[in-house]
Amino acid sequence: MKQRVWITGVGAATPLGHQFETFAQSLLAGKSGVESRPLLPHDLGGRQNIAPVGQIPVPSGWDEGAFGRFNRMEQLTLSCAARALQDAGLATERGDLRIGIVLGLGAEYLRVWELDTLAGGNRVYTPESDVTTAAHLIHRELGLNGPAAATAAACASGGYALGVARRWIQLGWVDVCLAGGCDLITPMSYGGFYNLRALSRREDSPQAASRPFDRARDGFVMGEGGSLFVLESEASAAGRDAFRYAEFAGFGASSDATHMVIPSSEPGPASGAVKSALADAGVGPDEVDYVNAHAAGTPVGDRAESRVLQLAFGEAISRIPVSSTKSMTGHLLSGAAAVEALACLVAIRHQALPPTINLDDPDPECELLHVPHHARPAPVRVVASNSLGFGGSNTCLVLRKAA
Amino acid sequence: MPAGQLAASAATSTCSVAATGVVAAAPAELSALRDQPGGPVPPRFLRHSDEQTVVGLAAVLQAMGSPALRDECYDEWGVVAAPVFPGRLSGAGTFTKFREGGCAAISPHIIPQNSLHSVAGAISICLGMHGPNFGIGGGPHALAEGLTVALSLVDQSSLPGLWLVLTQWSPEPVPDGRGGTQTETTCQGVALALRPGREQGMALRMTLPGAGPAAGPATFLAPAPHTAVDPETPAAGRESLARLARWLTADEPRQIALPWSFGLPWGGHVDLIQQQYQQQAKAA
Repeated sequence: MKQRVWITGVGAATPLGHQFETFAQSLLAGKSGVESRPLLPHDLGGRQNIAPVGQIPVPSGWDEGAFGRFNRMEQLTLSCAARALQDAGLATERGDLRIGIVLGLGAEYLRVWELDTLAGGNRVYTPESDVTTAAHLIHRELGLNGPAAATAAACASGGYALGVARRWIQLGWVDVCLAGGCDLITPMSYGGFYNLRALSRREDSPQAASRPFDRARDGFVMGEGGSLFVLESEASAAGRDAFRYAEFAGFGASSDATHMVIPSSEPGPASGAVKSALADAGVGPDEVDYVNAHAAGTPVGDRAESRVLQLAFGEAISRIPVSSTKSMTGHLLSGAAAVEALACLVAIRHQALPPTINLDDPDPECELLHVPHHARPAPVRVVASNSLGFGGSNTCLVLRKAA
Repeated sequence: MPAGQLAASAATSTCSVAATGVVAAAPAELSALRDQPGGPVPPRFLRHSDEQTVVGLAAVLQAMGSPALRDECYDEWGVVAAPVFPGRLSGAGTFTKFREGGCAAISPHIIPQNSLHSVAGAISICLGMHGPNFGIGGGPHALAEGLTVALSLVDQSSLPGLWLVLTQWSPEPVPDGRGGTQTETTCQGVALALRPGREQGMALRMTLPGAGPAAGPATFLAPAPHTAVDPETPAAGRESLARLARWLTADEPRQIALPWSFGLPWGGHVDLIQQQYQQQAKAA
C-alpha cells in the first residue's frame, strides 16, 4: 500500500503576498500583482511589466543582518524553506525525523552570475567561488539530515520537485521533505524571453497584460517568488498530530519530445501526465472539482493546453472549472508550479475557485469552463494543477482535501 | 517501506545498468562532436546547445550502440541529466553582449539551451522519449543528486528505462567572455541506461542511513572495499565523476575486483558493481 503524503507546512514569497492568508485574500479578490517597473531603465522603453516579489521576508528568529548577507536567490529560497518548516512546527522540534529537500530551480547559476555581474562582480570568471547551491545551502542552514537535490524543467521545475519529494517519502527514504520552486526576474532573463517573443508587449496597461485564455492575449508577464511546502508521511503527520493543508494525492509527468520551446500541437503526451496523476491519486475525471491550468497567456501555449485538458478529462472537462492564476501572479517560471499548488490549497481551504482575471473575451479555441474575473464559492475536494515547461516537460499534481 | 512507519531503518535501492557511454572532448573538439555526436541526430540539432548537452547526448548515443539495447524501444523511457554549472561560457558571453548591446543583444537561445533542464530536454527530444525529463543538481553536488534522484525514479517504477546523464567540465573553465574558454579543460559526459529490477551484469545500488540515533550506516552490503568515500567538496565531486568514467572504461575483471563507490553528502553511499562481484561478496 502506498504511503499517503500530506502537505503540513507552507512558506511562500509571491507577488500577491508572503503569508498563506494574505495570498489567499489577494487571489480570491482577483488582485493583480503586475506592475510597471524600470527593470531595464535604458532599454525597451525604460519600463517593463513584471510581477515583483518585493521585500523577501526574514524568517522569524533570524538575524536580519546575517540574512542580508545571503544573495537574493539564497534569501528567497531560504525564506520560503525556513518559514515552511516553522509553519509545520518543525523549525526546532524534529525528534528523529529524517528531513530532505528538493528545490525546483531552473537556472540558478545563470541568475547568480548575472546578478553578481550587474553588481560589479566577476564570479562567472572565478569558478572557485561557486561551492554550493541553494538546495545545499538550505540543507546546511536548516540542519536537514536527508537527501538534497535541485530539479529543473523550466516552468515545470517545481512540479518535478514536488513529485520527487513525494516519491522519496513513499520509498521510505525520508519522513518529511521540503519541496517547491522559486525564481527571480533579472534583466537578462527578461531580455531572453522578450527576444523569444514570449512576453506580452501590452506595455501601457500592466494589470491587463496577463490574460490567459483571452482572445487578445499576446504573451506572458514575468513574475518572481516561489513557495516551498513541507511534505510529510502519514506516519509522521499522524504521530505528531500535524495540521494538514491537503493530501498530495497524485503525480504524473511526461515529455512532448518535439521542441525545446514550442509546446506540442499533439496533446497526447501532456494529457498522459494528467491521466497518470489522476490514476496515481485513484480518482476519475468526474471527481476533479477544479483545474489550475498552466496557461501563461501565450497564443500557442493556451490553445495547446486546452486540447490537452479536453483529451485528458474527456467530456467531463465541460463540467470542471478551470482557471489560470498566472493572470494575477504573472508567470513565476521555476516557481510557477509551486505557487499554483499554493493556489490549489487556497481553493481547498477556502472552498472557492480562484479566477482568471482579464478574461474578457474567451478564445473559442480554448473552450473550457472558465472562471472569469471573479472567484466563486464551490465545493472543492480534489484539484489538479498542470505545469508545462521548455524542453517539452509536463507535470500534473493532484491534491485532495483532508477528510 | 510499509505504510505507517517512520524511515528509522536504512533504506536501499537497486537497479540494473543495461549499458553505459563515456565521452570526453576538449573545447577544440566540441565543434566536430556538435555536428556528429555519433548517431542519428537531425541536422544542426545541437547548433545552439550547451557544451554539456553535446557530450551528454554523445554519451547516450554511444551507450545505445550496446548489444544490450539493440532492440530497445525508447518511446516511454525517461531521462534525467545532472550537469555541473551549465551555461557558464555562454552566460559570460551573454553578459558581455548585454553590456555592449543591451537587451537586443541577448540570444533567445540562452534560456532554453543553457539552463539546468537543457541537457535532459534535448536528449528527450532527440530520441523521441515521452517519459519524464528534467535536470538535476547544477552545482558541485550534481553527481550525488543525479544518482539519488535517478534511483528513486527507477525503484518500483513502471518506467521501462531511464537515462541518467552526468556531465561536467574538468577542470571548470574560465570563460573568455565571448562564449568560449582558453582553459585547458575537458567536457565529460557519462550515460547510464538504468532499468528497474536486477538483471545480469552491472547494477547500481544505493544505501541511505535511516533516521535517529539507532540508525547505522549501510546494512544491505558493506561499501565496496579498496575504494575511498569522497568528502563533501566540489573538487571531490568532480574527481568522482572522472573516476566513474575511468571505471566504466576499464576491463571487466578490473571492474569486478574493484567496484566504484561514492559517498553521499547526506550519508550512505552508491555502489556500481558487476553482478559477479555481488555473488563473490555474498559467498564471502
